[in-house]
Amino acid sequence: MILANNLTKRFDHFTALRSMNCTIEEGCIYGMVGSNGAGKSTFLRLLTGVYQPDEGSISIDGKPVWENPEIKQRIAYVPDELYFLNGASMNRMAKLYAACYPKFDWQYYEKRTKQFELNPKKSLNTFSKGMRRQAATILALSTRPNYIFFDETFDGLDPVMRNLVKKLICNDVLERNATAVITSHSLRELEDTCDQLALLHKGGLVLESDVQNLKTEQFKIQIAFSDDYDKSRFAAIPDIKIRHFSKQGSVANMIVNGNRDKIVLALQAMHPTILDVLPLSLEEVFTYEMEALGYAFDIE
Amino acid sequence: MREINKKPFSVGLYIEGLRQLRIVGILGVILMFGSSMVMNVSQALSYRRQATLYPDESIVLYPVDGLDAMSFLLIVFCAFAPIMTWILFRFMNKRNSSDFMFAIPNTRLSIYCSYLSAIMTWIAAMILAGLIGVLLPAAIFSNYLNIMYDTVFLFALSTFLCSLQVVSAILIAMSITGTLFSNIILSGMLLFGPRLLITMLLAVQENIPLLCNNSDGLFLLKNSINPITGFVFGIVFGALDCSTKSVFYSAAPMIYSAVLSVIYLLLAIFFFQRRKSETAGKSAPNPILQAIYRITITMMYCIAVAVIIVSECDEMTSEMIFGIVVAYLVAVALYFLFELIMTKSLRKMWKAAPGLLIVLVLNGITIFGMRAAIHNAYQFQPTTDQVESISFAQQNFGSGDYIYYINYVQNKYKEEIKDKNLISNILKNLKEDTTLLEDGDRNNYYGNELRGTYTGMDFKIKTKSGTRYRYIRIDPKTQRALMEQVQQSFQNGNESWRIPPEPIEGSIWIYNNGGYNWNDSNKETVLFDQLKEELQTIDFTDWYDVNNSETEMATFYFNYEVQTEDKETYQFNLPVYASLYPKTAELYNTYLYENEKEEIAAAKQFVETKMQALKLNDDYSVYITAYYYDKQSQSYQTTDISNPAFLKKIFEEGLLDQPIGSTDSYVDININVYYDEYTYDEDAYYGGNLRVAVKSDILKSLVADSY
Repeated sequence: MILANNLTKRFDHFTALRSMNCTIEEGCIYGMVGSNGAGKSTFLRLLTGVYQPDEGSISIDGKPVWENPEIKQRIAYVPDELYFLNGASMNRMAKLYAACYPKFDWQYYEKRTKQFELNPKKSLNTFSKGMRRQAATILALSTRPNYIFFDETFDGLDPVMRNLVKKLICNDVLERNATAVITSHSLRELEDTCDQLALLHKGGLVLESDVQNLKTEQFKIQIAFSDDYDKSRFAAIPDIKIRHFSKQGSVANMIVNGNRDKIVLALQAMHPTILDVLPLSLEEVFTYEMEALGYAFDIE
Repeated sequence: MREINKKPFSVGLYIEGLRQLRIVGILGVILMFGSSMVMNVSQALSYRRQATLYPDESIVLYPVDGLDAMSFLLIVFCAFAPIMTWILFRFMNKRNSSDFMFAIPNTRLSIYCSYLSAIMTWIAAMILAGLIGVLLPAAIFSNYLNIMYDTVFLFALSTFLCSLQVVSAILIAMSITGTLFSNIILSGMLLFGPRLLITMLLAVQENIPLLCNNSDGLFLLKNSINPITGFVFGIVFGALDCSTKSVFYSAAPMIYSAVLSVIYLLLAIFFFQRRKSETAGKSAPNPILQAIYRITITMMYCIAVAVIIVSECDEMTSEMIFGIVVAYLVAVALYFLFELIMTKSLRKMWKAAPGLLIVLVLNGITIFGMRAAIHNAYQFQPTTDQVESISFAQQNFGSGDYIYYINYVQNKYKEEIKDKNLISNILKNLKEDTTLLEDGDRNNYYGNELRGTYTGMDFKIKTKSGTRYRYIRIDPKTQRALMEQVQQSFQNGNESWRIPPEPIEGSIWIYNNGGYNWNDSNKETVLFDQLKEELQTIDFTDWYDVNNSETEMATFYFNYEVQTEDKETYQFNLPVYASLYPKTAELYNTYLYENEKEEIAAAKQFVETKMQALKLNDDYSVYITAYYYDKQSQSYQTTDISNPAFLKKIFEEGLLDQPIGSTDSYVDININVYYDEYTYDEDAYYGGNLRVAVKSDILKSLVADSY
């Protein structure tokens, strides 16, 4: 389990992370989304022991990460800016990994390299951006980690490879009860992979929730009545929270939080002329949540 | 599965480090082995060829020390050590590599120690390769190589320690800075800055004639104590107080280097463990350090200017003032340029302007501080009662020194002068020197009509409040009194003056004032042994008087290299006077006569046949120094002549076909016949130096005729 407690990190006068608290359970695929400069990469670097917190703490299985090889050997980290030795091939990098990580699995490495159709003897300088990212992912996963951290890993991957990498991550999580933390500035990338999602904004964690809960607890209703009406008509419905209400002509669109079945039954009892319940995409969920919190920004 | 714990060393990372350095390492090993082999094998083959060509002559195998045998080893710490350090640790200069390395499951100490060990392993391999390149030829060509094995191994050890020092200094720099340029600047500051500062400050001292350099505690301030700066400053600035070789053979520099390396290593560990990955790509982790670098670099330049100001302030001309102003403008430009290069930002460069005030203040403190120190030195004017004793400041002969036997013997005099009158006279001279220097009257300080007869000496003055060292110009009367003390000491049982230092084998060569010298180790050894025998029977007063005589000339001189206990070598000169060492002089003249027979015959033939057809000065030159022995005064009268007729007469009528006797007149002849590549004839006579016995009456008449 990963536990961040009042985690703060500053660079000169800039606070990249501000009193962040979060708990990431074992076996979870945790997605972290936020705009550029939100603090996602900083969080991952704190998680991998690259940075030391200025305030607060970060621990994995109750132990601090900083200068702790015992914990670090269980972590695989694929950063946004990849690093390879000058002129090295995949095999050369594999030797470096094997020297550093005691659990490096050569069989797994060779199997995945073949699967991705990468030439392990060729210099990584000759690989495309996407191929380099694939290579880095294979090398990281070959260390058989319990904790996998990906920083904007899916950028540069084609859709087929993206799905393949997602499958790899899911396999590892399932097989070995690994915990994955994936950051991205694209919700679409994380939607179908992550169990939990967190939204980071200006160094703070503004939203954290189970993905299923997010999708089911918030939904869109399209409703119309023959007579004139406004938002107050629905105030009497118990446990309904209207996040957003817009009306064009006689048709109203509402973004609603609450128990879906109960709310639908209550609306049906009002005898509307039109009643449609539509699921929301995660993007829409986040947008409306943020609006409710007073943030207004665009996520692509 | 291997267990990972917090051990400070990782075998896997160490092997990885070796692997990353293998190309440079293998190149270094090949270069060291190849260069040593080539140098020593070619030396041996050269001697073997000589032996083949001249089978009747004994070949002098000049001793080969460590630096001669493996000079390429200097590249190990000058180039390979810094390059390998940069290769392994440059990950700290880029964010992606820095993050990667600090994320691996090793403590920072483990990364540091493992990679450092990999670098030093390759360095050791290069040194070993160089050693093999010496030992192998030495074993194969043992008859043709005279290897000084102790200096070879000392040089190898010294190279290792210097490499460690370089590596550890660079590691400090790389742990604090995050760009290549800042790595280099800070490494340079750590390796050379302190010594440069000391050298410049000592330059002030050298401009104060009063202060002598022979104080016991000053050895840490000498460039020769630090092999790296000693080597670099010696080559670049000629600022070495000993030859390059001794810095690598002596114990003191090695100990110094080892201690400094340990300090640097510990500091590097401290900084490396605290290294923030986000420093990658930045010249300094924070603006304060950036300012410190900037100000330090500028001050290192400004101190040189300050030294000039302080040294020359009594004789400042308008040109010098202008030059100083320009120098300070350059300092300002350097200050801003440094900031621009480090930060690549014009805005930051201008923002750094207020720091110039700090530079200004520091300059003021430096200049006034140095002036205060000099003023303080001038204030040292103890009274006779305050002085406990005075003695000669002992010289530690170091490599590069050229020592005469008279100085060597004087240095053996360690006794203290307690005679109050003598002390009073010495102090009077000190006061006179100080007054002249304080008034800026250097002309009279160095020599007017009166002070031209003064001699400068280094003294150690002990007072109740401490010991000071002063160089004092002593008047002739006080000089005599001092020498009487020295003489008394050596007459009263101090026999150390009878033992000249032993030469390094094969390094003796002998020469005379006529320029004739030869290289025959057997004869030289016999002569030297003869001299040592005669030295045991001489009276010190006679020895001292002859060596200080302005009339008696040495028959010949021994010149050889001496190695001290600290493995420093210096040149030693020992004149041989016929009146002191008659048997040695006689033996020398016998050898000379035997050696010169062929030369004399060739010269004679030239004079009698070819010389007439040639034009003096256009085609050849002749210089003759005539030593006419006057039986009445029992001394030689010397005359210099350049006259072919004189020469002809000597060969036709004056030659004595015998070794020069103790009462024989003789001449030193130098003939030089000019040629170019078109006229050179292998079998022709082109001149040389001769010393031949001549009939006194013939010489006397010739000398009289010439006037």
